[in-house]
Amino acid sequence: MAQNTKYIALIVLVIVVVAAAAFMFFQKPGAGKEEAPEKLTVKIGVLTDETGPTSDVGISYAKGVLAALKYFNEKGITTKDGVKVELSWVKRDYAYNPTKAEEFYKEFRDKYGVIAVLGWGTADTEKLSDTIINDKIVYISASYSAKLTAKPYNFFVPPDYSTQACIAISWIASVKPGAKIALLYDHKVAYSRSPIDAIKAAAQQLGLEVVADVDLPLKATEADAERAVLQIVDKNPDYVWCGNTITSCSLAAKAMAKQGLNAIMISNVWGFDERSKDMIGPEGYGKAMGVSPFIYPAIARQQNIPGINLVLEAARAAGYSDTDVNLRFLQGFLSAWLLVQAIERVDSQALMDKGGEALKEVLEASCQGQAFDFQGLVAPARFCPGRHIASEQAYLVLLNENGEFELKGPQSAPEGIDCAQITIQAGG
Amino acid sequence: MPAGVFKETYGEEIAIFRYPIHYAGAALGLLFALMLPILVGPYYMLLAVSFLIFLVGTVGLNITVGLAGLISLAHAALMGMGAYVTAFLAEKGVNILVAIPVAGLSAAALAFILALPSFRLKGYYLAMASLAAQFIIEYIFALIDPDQYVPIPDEAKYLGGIYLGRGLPLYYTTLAITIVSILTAVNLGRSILGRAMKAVRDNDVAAEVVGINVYYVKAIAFTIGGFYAGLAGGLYALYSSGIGWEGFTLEGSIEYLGMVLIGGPGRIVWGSFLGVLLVRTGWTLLESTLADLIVSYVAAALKYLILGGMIAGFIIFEPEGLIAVLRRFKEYLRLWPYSY
Repeated sequence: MAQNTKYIALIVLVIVVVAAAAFMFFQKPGAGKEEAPEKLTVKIGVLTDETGPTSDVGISYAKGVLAALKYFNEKGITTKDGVKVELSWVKRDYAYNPTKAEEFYKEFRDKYGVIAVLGWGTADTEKLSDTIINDKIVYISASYSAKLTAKPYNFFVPPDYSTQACIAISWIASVKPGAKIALLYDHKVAYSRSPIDAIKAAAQQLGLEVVADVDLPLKATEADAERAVLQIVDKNPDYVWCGNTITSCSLAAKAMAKQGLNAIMISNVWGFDERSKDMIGPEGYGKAMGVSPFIYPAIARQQNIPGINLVLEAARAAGYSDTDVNLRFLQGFLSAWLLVQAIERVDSQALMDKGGEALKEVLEASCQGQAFDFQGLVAPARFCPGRHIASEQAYLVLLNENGEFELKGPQSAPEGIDCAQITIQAGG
Repeated sequence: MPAGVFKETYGEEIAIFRYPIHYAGAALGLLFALMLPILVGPYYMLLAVSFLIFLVGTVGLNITVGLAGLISLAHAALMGMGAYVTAFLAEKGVNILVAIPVAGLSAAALAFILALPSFRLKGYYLAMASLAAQFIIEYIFALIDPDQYVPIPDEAKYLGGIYLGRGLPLYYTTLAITIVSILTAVNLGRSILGRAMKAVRDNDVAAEVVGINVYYVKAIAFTIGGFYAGLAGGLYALYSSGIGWEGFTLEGSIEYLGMVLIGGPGRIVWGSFLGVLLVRTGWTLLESTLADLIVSYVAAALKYLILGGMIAGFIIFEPEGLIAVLRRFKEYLRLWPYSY
């Protein structure tokens, strides 16, 4: 009995110690906003992919987001009524795993009390799009999926993927009527699949023919790319749409050159950037293009686009060189800048009382009011309730035969074809 | 008056609660579990829910691997089966509390099919067969779920007007299902079937010689393990806003195996408990700290280095897992301050 008493005493002691330690260690989350009216703290969650299959574009994007947050924080942010706002952020790398993204989102919400998230991929953003409505958390993503445009708390700076793709299709129809198009994208990835229904519908309406629809893994190897290209060679397409990220699309462009396929590859916004020149190589010069709603930073500097100076200043302040400021960095910067502009338009009392809901309201107020302006780096953005399509313009960037980037546009979305709506209706 | 606790019947000897300390421990543990939401904030409560879900899954794998000695690298796929079945039924308007047991049964049926190679294979070859099964099932998930996301309708998560998908109802629902699952698993270990599994694990030829139907035992071990995995998948569907195939990949299966091997193979409850606590929950807490301290790709790489190192370390130095270390510590305390 004495031994049992000793055990019981020991267990009770352990339980008490564990309970006390748990009580001290696990703190209840702080509120998303502070009460002091002279200064507010806005808590933000930042979801990145720096180690997963889209890290080839995700690392620079994350740098851009963080550089912007740091820069605007130091420069000073004030609400519409002059109350100073300090941004406080938590960053998590979810490695492009939507399951992991949801776990981190719950950490943002329940542990840190964020009112806004700067997110990343399509599958995870779509997955969380209904949850954030209940939580009233504004979500500005790097995914430009058309399905998100109908969600009340999802926002992004450029036009959606489907509208961007239709801009490319419309351009093809204008330069080569009746052209044949082959599609290369990862059939198992929501991001890659996102604009496909819209592309097919727009191509049909504009008199183009989709001759192949081939699976190319997002994390492709050279062999994957060659296998995919082999499947389209005998279809003899004039244009090839690549819906993956830069590594995969560059490998496909190389494989096209190797197989002697005389077609032009057009990649979506994440499949083509400044690195494409080196990644594709001279054999692909004149045969590769990308859709981009954003002006490439190097071109923006050449053309003295005002906004680029701000981005460069922020990059330098964060310890980056001017060469670190690439398209991805710019995209990340602009997402954070949109959030900052929304905070600057909100009333401090509304921000305190309603948090993310107040930010959503000012973002949607741009529908009839002043657009969000990015000083020429991307088209001004307006968000209408139920239709968060920021704009309907994008450039086409050609890697010309001299290995230089040539800007075509800005091009507009084809009239009479609502590509975002096609995607939403198709559920893709 | 007897000096100590003496067992006078076989029933007393194999009872779940054999000593007063077991009653005290269970009561205090239950009290702690019930009071946890008061002690911690909502985030840590969600972490506890995640812990319970993976505890159910790990208990299942511990039955297959620890109790019956059959290596399975397809446990995450079985969990995925449960999650997808739950999602499908919820979409059809079936209440999630009905869908969860069905999910368990579906995963059990799939596990039974996966058990067939175990009739002819063992050791590394069985591991390879289960690895192949993991890849095949994963591929099928990717085909049926190309959007990487199947939503779980909120309407399916109500019971009598109470929403079970969040907060206290989520925690207590998961806790209740976990407790029932664990009690069942504990009883399995003490049953004829449980002892037959141990016999097959220790020497399948000898087990057959003494009259155990080895094929039957292996099939049942896989099937029960699959049922628990499916149950965990169903609970995951309750916890999550939607499911995607990335949540049920080989990485998940290896993590499950790591939890069993590190916690204590064969020690169904405590071994699984310690394994999940260390590998799953411990890592989640560590990950957040690391993400704030060092660059994320180093933190991500560290997970694999640490998990791999721990699995290798435990296999080499302590094959009975963390539970054996704690048992030795308990013995030390029992005799302290004397070593005899």
